[in-house]
Amino acid sequence: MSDKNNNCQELTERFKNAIEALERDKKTMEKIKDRNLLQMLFANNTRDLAAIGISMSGTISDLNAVIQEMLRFFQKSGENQAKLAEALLQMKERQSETNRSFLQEMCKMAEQLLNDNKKINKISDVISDHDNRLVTKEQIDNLCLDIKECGLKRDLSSIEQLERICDSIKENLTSFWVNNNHKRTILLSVSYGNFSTIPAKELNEKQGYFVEKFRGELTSKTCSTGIWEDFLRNQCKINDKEMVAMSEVVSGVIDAVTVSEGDRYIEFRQRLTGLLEDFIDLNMDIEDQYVPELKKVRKRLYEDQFEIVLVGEFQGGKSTTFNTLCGGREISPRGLNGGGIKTSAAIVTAQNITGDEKKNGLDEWAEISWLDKTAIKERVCDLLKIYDFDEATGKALLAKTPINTPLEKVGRLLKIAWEEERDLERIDLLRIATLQFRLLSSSNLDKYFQKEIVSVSEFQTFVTFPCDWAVRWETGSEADFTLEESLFTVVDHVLVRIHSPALARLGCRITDCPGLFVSKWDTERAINAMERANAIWYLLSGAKELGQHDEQALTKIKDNKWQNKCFFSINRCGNALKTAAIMKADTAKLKSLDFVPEQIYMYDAFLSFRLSQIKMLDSNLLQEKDFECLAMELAQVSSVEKSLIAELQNDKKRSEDVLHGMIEDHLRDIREKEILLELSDEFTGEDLAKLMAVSGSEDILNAIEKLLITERAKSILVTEGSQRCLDVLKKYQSTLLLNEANAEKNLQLARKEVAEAEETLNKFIKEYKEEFKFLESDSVDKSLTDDFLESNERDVLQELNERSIKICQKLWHDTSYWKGARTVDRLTEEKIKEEFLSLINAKLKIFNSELKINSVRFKNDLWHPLLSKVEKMKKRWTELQATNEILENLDLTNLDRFDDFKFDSFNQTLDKKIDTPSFTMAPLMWIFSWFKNANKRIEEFFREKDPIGTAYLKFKGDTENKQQIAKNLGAPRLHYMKILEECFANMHKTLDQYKNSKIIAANLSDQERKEIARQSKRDRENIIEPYTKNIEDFQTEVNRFYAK
Amino acid sequence: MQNNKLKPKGDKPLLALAGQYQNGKSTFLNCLLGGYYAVEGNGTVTTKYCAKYRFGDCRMTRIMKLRDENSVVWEAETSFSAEGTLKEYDKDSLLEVSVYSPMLEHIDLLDTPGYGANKQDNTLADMALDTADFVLLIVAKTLNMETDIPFLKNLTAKNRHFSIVLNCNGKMNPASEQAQKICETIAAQIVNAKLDRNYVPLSMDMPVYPVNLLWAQCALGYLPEAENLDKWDDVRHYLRVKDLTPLSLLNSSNFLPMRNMMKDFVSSFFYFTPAGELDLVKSVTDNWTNELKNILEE
Repeated sequence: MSDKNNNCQELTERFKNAIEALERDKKTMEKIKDRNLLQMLFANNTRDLAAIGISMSGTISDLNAVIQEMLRFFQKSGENQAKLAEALLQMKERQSETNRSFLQEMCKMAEQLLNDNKKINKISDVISDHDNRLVTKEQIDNLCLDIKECGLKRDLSSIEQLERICDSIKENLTSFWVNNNHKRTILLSVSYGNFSTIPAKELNEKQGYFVEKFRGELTSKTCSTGIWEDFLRNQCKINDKEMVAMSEVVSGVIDAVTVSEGDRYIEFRQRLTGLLEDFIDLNMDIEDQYVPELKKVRKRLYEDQFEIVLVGEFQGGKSTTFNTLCGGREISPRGLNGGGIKTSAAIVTAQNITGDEKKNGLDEWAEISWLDKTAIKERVCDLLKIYDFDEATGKALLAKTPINTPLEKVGRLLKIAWEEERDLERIDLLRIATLQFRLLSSSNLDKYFQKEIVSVSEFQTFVTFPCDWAVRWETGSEADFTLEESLFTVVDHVLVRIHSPALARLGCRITDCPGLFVSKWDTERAINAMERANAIWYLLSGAKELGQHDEQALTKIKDNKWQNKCFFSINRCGNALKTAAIMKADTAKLKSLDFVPEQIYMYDAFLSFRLSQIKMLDSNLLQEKDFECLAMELAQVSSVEKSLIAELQNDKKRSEDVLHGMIEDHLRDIREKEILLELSDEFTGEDLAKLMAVSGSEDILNAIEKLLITERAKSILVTEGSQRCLDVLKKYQSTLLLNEANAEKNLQLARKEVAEAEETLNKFIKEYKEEFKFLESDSVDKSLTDDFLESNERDVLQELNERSIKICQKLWHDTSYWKGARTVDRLTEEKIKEEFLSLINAKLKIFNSELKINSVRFKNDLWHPLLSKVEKMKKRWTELQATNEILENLDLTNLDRFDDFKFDSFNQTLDKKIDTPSFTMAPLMWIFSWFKNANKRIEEFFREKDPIGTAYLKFKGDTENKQQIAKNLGAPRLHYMKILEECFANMHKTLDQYKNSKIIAANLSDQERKEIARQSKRDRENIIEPYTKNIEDFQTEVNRFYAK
Repeated sequence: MQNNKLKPKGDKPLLALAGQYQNGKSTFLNCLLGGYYAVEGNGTVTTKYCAKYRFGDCRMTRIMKLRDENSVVWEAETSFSAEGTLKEYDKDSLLEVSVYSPMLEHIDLLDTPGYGANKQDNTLADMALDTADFVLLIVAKTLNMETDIPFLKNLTAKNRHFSIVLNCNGKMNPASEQAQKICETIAAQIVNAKLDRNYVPLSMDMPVYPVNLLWAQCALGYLPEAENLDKWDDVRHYLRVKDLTPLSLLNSSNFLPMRNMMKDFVSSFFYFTPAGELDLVKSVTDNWTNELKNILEE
């Protein structure tokens, strides 16, 4: 603020001085006597200014400079205007006769500008006011009404108004993601309301100017003027030529300032792959080792490993969404015939196949990762720890290292557990453990484990949750499940590789996981998946507002600080009004949970799914499985006649009709009959486009694309893309240069050079290994551990106390536990321990991710010394390189990867080592068994006995725990060490290669050497150098674009 | 009988409708009464207070404190205007509506706020159930481990008996295979969670009863005409039956058999839950409450 004030004062002061100087300058005053100097200055017209000899007169040019500056200052904001006007008025009173006229002019001008700006500001304010909340249709409508209103109060010409509106759009919507529907609405209001009077000719002239003006630097994007015409004429029924032209201008500007980033990224990516393609095609005959490397880069560009995980309540449309992204294929089992029962049991990830990659002769396949046997046993034993003793003998059954317990004993323990357990959640876990145990004991397990690559239709048997799970357990036992049915308990995750246009477009992986809070097992898996993923797509139910278990899930997300990788969509289950009401309620609840999503995408999973199926049907890409599901839904039963499937498969028209029918039913279901009435019987392309807009899938795909872009674009395009290309090319170039140089070398000379190079390198590496020795000590890890435990103590204790009280209250509420103190203590303790560990883990993760920003110790003891030493090393190496031709080709590689270290991706799970002393609440038993509501007593108990505080102290004091944390915190250090080692090893390796080729080259005859040198020179000059330049240019452009 | 404020001695048994929010409790109630009495939801939480429906000669609405039957604070002819008024009073107010409906001749009905949406509603639902003699749980899919099961456990801890009705959402036919499957699963979940001691199946061959409330609503025709016609049109389209009559639809929705069964059930249920046992439980719990009160006061 004070800055601005100073600026304002300084300007008026300068203005005053300039005018006074001019007044004194009699000669110039004479010269401009009859001219309106101020007007000339304001217009800033070079010719007029030259006529009065501005360049000759210092006083005028000073005045000009200050006036221009004032105008710029003035136009910046309303606040500035008010200030400047005030300052000028004050000056007016103190001025002499001569320059009063100047001031009057200035004030008049200011007033006019002020008025104009007020108008613009109003539009801008209106737009920016809505800008943050461009969510519901209602809000957009309001915005449009406001635009219209502004347009009505006109004393500007239409063209001027248009320009102002475009200005506002640019100012307010730049870098904002406005979805197509919203854009259309804004467009409509602009075109209907304001500009019926602009002659088409004038518009045509202006159109190019506008687009050019507002497109600014976004040069390579083709503005989409023209594509809107169809929309405006057909859908908005605008037939007026002027209005169409006018709207196209506005749409062009909106397009230019809003979506361009996404398109820009795609274009960048295409350009780079295009460049690679060209090079690979044209230069297949160049040295073998380089082409495959470039191919790898190309592949990586297509198959970025960005992963999005779908999260939400069970039966909330996760699998449907997943399948939509898989191109409408039935990949993940979804609830058919109305759903209502849990279907997915494992984590399934889908990724597009680029090119004609095949595996085991399969065009499409699923890669199954099985849990390994030890891991399974570990899980089972882990679960059994709390039941661990034999009723008959009273001895512990698990071995000291539980994993060494013989299977037979594990079986006995399982039986004990079954008898003892009353908690349904744990019973479910026991069931899964029982099935796992049975698989472990089965000799057939290995046979299944060999199936690592299976066909897409086959893998589903391994991940489908038995639909009558609860029913079968009710009366039966594990024997009611076939081995095959229980395999889902030992599948870690499945990667499905299929051809899907949607996945290809996004270039990322998408993961479906079991619904949250159906059982503990599922929740655990979902949380693991969330941790791994780069983004979390949270599906809110459109049937009802966010409930308590959503709140729980969101709290978990918050605990782990995953909010920023979380985005929301709402799955439409009713008409727009209903969904908007739910969305409003959800937004408020999300806000109370500290989630402030930029937008919640309204999205219709079912409709999108069916539409993508129609598309796939059209291109004959649906498989038998898809038809089977379709038939099942048509007949509303779970097993159908083969003949019906065949009928659907063979008769495209019939299947199409079925799908159309389903869409119609769905539209009725969500009470959007108006759309239904607009559709023609045949579902023309236009109809499908309309439905697509209703489904909202385009918007959400755009959003994901944008997410990918903001998160990954630069790294994909530069670090993983062009930079890698350049590295390869540089290597190739230096080989060629070496070949050229070799023409002059004989054997003796070559040997000498090699020996020298070797010696220098060895000396260099030895010296710097010494320098980096400080990385080997783990003392920093230890002090970081202390820091961690210290800094989080208060938070953890507070959080944990609150949660533990809740846990106790929940458990004690249930009378079935009143029977035995042991059960309650055990369960309470178990749950609190779990919560404790998960909280510590979460905190550790956060601590880790902030190490480089927040930890002074890390910065001072590790990071800064490392950087400065590396800098020194680099400098030294450049010096050494100049001394020897071979060394010139050896680079310090990968050192930029220091920065690459993903602080939040290394393994942070703590083993369950924690003591929770004095948790036994037996003395409280009588209170609980006597009083109905013991909540207050529980709180008191925690306050007085402070069991959590004691537990934390013990946890802190335990060396083993500390070691574990230190190991985690030491991960970056180890990473740095590894990079350095790799770097040195690489140098040795490269030297060896050069050494050999050098000796071989030196062995050749002069003639041959010269021939090779000539060829190398030709390749270098004609191919490599121009191509390198292309890529470098590309990289500069990308860097410039993303630096903004 | 301090614990039983809602139901003075000698009053009719009180049947409470419970369930997660937005599962169709109010719709179910309206269907039972055959008129639009309770506001039905549209995705967001609608019933935020307890409403008791009792037999009366004309429609009358009173607001009173949940804890004190005699403190009538408001009285009017319609129930909807009451909702606005209710906001001014405490959350734990009770809305009492008198309705002339045959269903209410032998029983009082209690509409409760859905659980699983927020803490306050949970507490309120919980509090209301203290007073109920029997609970009818309305569900829309299989039971949820985090909300439904704890709720039922709590219920059995209070020694309340309950039954479950599945509200088939949208176009699911109660007679369909899928609906049967869900019902079977729910029944098994009840047994698995060891809740079957207090579970009273409405019918022996159908332990969880599936109904389609949307269809029942249409067949009973209590919505405004335009809205109802609209829904009729949809239902006719789904079922692809040309000569659909209200009676046939009420039958297909499974609501008619269910209602008949409920009538029988309501009268017979109290035979096999001896009043003596109920009283015993209540006197014990009252005792606890007093003890607790004393200790807290000290």
